[in-house]
Amino acid sequence: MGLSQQGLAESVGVSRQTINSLEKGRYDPSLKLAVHLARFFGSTVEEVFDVDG
Amino acid sequence: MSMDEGRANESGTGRGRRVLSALRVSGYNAFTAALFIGAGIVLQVTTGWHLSILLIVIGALQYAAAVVIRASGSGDVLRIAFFEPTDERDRDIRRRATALVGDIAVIGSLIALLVVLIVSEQQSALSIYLAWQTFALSVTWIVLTWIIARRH
Repeated sequence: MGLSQQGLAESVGVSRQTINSLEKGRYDPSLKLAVHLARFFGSTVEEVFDVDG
Repeated sequence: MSMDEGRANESGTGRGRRVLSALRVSGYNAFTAALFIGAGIVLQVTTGWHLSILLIVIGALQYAAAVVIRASGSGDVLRIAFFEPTDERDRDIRRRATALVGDIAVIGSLIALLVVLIVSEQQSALSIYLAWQTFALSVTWIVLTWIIARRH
């Protein structure tokens, strides 16, 4: 996709550190942020986030 | 008014809004900076205490630091430590850290009180102060738990 963490962060209105923590599984997003991220990727929350892992 | 004057007015207003936006800080920093500066002014006026200038300077520096940190895209630890959270993760970290500080304050107060009572073997001003501090923190904990539980 060629999108940096900073670019994604700015697109959904959070900090780069938040995106980094999300990718590493250290932070669970709020429902609102999870939905925004899913919409950004044109996908569903279940597909973007591994809720069973 | 000509189109150029209109445009100049709009950009002036836009610029003014941008400056005001850049000077915005969190409520916590605005309040504590105002507290320091206000206390410094009151002390200077009422007592002429020369260190009141130091309070004013501290308040001004705190406000300036908050503005710089907010605007500079600094790291999360610096943002949160200076009470300028920018997103939900920052606020979550701040809530958890503040809660731990509260826990440590309550337990630390109790430990300090017990140590003073054991060491001094009699009632002292310090033990009375620590007893009231422990009591006040405990009551605050109970009241805030009740308030927050009602809202969630």
